[in-house]
Amino acid sequence: MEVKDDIWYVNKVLNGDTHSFSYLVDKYKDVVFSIAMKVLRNREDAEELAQESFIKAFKSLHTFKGNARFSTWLYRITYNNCISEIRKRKMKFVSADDVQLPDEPDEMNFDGIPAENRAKYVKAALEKLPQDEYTLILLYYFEDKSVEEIVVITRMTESNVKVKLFRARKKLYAFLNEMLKEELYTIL
Amino acid sequence: MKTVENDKKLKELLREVKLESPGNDFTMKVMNRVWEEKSIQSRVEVIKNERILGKGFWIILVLFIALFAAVVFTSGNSGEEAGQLSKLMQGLQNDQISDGYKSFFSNLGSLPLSIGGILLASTLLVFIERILSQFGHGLIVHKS
Repeated sequence: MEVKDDIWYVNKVLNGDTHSFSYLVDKYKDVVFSIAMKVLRNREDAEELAQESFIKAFKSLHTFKGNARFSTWLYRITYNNCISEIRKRKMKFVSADDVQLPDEPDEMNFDGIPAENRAKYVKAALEKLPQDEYTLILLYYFEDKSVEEIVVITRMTESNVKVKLFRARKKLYAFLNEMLKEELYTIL
Repeated sequence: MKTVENDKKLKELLREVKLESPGNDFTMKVMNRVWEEKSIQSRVEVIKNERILGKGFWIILVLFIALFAAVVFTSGNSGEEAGQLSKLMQGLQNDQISDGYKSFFSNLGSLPLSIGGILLASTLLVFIERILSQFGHGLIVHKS
């Protein structure tokens, strides 16, 4: 469904209906902005970077062949933009390799999290993840991207993506467990 | 097996999370920039498609060459009464038009060559100015 919809709009834009591009912007602005926000940690800069990503996508839309999903292609532009911005600002890209992995179980009892607070906890745990792991989790779980598509977006090797995803998941569970324990202590 | 289940649950949980959203006017801002980009692209296209030398230039050039050739032709044979051209027109001597041509070209022959030089130089200047303005315009568009 997504493929047909997006390609239909892409073709409309390529045939001169520039206004159709706003559909694609509306659809993907949150993910693009979230990736930028995680990297730059500043709303204004993140908005600017997200805008740049869409403009770049528009300018090079004629090079989009439709072999991959439009979203994959767009996220690759966004990811590259983030990397370039980090290099430009001489910032450090916080990678999963720089963060010590907590010694926690690989599994998680989600039922232990109160239903009304689940989204809040998961969001807080997500924010604690380093940039690359956050992006991978976002793409894999939130955007339903396959490992192969993430390879295209990030240009990491397949095994690297798998390892990082595993570590990110483990870390996410660890953060959630930590938060649950804290909540338990406050109740007691 | 449990990991797969956990994976599914994690996916469901993540779906509940609302992602960070940019400002309400984000799409509008992007589209404004897209329109700007579009207008720049179309200006570049127009410049690319526009021929440096228009039709008018070639007409003027042909006329000028004809005029210049006529001047050189007639002045080169100043000793002769009517010049080569008038000889060519001999067959039409009874005709009023040929008389007109004859008098026109003999008058041209009496004009100094510097007029031809001025015409040639001004044509060249117009030509150079046009090329430079096109080039400069292209650079401005490209920079913006």
